[in-house]
Amino acid sequence: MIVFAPAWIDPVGRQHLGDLIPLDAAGRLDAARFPTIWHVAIRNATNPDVAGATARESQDFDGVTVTRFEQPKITVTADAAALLPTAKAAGAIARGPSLELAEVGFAPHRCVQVVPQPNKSVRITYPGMALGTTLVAGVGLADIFTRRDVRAPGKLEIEIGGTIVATAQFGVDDGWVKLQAATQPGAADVTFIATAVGANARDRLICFAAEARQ
Amino acid sequence: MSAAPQQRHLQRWLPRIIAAGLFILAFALVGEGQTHVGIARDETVYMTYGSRYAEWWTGVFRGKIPVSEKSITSFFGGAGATDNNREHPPLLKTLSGLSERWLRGPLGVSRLTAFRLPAIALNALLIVIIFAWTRRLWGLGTGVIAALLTLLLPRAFFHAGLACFDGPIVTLWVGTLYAYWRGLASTRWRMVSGIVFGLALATKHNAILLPFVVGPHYVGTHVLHWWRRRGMKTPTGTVTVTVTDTGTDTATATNTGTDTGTGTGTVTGTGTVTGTGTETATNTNTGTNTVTDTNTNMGTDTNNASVAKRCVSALRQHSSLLWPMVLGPLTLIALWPWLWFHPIAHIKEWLSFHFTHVHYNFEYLGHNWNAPRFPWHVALVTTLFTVPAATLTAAACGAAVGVHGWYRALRAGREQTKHESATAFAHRHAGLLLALSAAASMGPFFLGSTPIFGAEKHWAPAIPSFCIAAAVGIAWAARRLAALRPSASHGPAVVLAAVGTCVVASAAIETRQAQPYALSYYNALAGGAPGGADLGMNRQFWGIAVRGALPFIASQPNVHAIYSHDASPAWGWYQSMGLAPKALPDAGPEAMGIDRSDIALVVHEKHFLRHDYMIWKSYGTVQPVFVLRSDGVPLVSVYRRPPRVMPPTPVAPTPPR
Repeated sequence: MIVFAPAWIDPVGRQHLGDLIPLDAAGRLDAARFPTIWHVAIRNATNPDVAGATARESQDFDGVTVTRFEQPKITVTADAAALLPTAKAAGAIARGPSLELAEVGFAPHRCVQVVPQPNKSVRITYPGMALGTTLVAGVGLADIFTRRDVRAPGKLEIEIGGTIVATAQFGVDDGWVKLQAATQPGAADVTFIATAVGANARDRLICFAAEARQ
Repeated sequence: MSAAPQQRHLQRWLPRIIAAGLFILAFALVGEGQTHVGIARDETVYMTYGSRYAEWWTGVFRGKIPVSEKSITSFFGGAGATDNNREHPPLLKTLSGLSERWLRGPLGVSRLTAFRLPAIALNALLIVIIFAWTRRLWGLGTGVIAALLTLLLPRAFFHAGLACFDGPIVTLWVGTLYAYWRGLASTRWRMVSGIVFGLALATKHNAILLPFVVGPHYVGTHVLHWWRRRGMKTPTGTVTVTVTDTGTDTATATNTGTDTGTGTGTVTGTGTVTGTGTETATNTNTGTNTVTDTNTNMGTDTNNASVAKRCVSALRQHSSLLWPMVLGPLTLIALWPWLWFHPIAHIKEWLSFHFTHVHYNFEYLGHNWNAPRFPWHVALVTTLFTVPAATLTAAACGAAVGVHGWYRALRAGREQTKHESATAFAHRHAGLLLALSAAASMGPFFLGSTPIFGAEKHWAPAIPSFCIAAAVGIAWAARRLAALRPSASHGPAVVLAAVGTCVVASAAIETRQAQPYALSYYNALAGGAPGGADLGMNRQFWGIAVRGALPFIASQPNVHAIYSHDASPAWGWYQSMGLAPKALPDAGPEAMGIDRSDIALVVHEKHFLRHDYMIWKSYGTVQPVFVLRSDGVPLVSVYRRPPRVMPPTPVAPTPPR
């Protein structure tokens, strides 16, 4: 994975190295599943995606500092976005669910997007999802213009085997909110419950990604 | 001609020659600069309706269009809030339309430049007004410096060349205040201030803030004048009493004490009072004489003129406020045919559009703002980062000098107050007027509920006050420097020229470098354009930078439709100007347009990141093929759709005819 810093230099970085950045990597849930991160920076800036990673080597090219970061390798046993065709959606659906590359918190996220009816919920169930030791999710409200026009929040609950294991409520300015739950390795039904909170909560483009990790 | 008349001749004509030179300089620089600037999204709207308004006026004068509610509504009004662009007053648009109609072609004036000429001329007029005002207050050299600093503001210079309202409203705002200030000493200027206020109202809605400058200044200085004069029955100096009445004077003046002074008093008419020294008088005045009594008066004056005459006198005394209040709205209505019918309802609709305006997305200090409460400091911080640092420093110096001088004058100038009228007192407090101008212009942005879209252009009328303060600061610094070596052969004027040149040159360099992407300009305090990007300040708006990407787009072979993003309203303009290929149509808006396109651009603003991602999804790549930058900061990205892997087209049977 390649990241750039400061964030505003991103277009220039992609112009030169964009052919090495797949869409899935650009729209990542987070950087944890990438054991190697190439960090390209100017002006002594640091991309937050390398927080916690270890710098192995660094070289300066006329003011552009390229650093190779490494972090422990993890295995993704299931990806909610990739498994969307196997999921079952039920409840008060206004739109979706669909697989999108959406803007959430001014960053790209490959995610499952669903729009519940106001003050209602949609349940998206993944039968027999292959869980690892951790289920990590990210969620937020997509699209800056609907966030501006409708200020109501959304909510996401993760239910495994009938038990809510993680919950997050997120407003229009909260960006990409992370959730995490410890899981027992093995297959289980995992349900994501997306709720548009409030009677005026129309057009809540709830966008979530989730990975079961080992 | 002897030396003295020559000197007087020079003193009379030199300011006029300099003013003319400044006008030509400003007109030429901005006129040339705008030829490199792209077309603003909103500008296309104003030009379109400017042509419509000009068509109506010329049609009316030629007798081809009737002056009727129907024709006016079809050109200027409509049921919708934005029909015929009725949410904005028409003056600048009308002038642009007339300019395009009359000036396009001759002397090689392009259509776009013709639309922009009225704004360019008004900006040149602003520079002259700043010169004239500052010269009258602080001298010729200070006036020239103030004018040049006002011209050499990177952001204002940019706006001055657009067929939009943001430059012109600064001219008419400052023009109103200048005329009001002159009107404190001249009846003729009071009428001018009313008309100019009307022109300002007919240009942009923030002119409605002008009463919040003039009102507080007039009332405040009058109250201060009264405050300083109260208790002056026991004088410590000479009192000047001016009584204007009509009739015959029967005055009784009893002069007691010792005459030791040198005051003089004159009654013009029937009777003469001539007194010197300390006077105790009881004057009953019922006549038509003008009595100017410069004696120290220990008694009382009683004026028995009629109430009506006193009312007229009061109106005349306060006509500095009355003329703008009357002539301003009348001028607005005269220039805006839409207000000729149902004026109250239409003014209400016009203003309510702005009071309930949608909140745009706007990046400020790293956050995308689109809902109240907005930060109270946006006007201060943005100004701090968008006015050249040398100008700001000089302005801070000038403001400190001004406040200190004002305080000292208030403490020591009690005697002067005793000798001057309230209006003359107000006229003397021009610095307060300039400060109020800045405060009223920026004031709404401290409320937290006023949208911050458009950044500094919305409080642009405040900035000339900073430039005048900067010139005052430079003059002060020059005096201090000159005082260090009083025996030096060069005089203070040379030092002023030297210091002024340094600051003006600094502003000139920054202004030059900022063009044509001055919306992305940030000063040295912010760290330039990259520093502004680091701070998370707005990068640009209106899609205006796209012009810089047009040569690359025009060089691309085998492209058939473009997603032109925020430049969509200007795309046809670029095609007609030969800057964009005529065979490359705009593919339409949003995802549908992106999917139809094979080349796409994104104008970089924080909230436009969504358009990058829409293109990534549609094109299957995150890699732009071109990135337009200003000082290294990305302004526009251009993407090309990779060759599609098309499924083989099935051979369909020919449908029956």
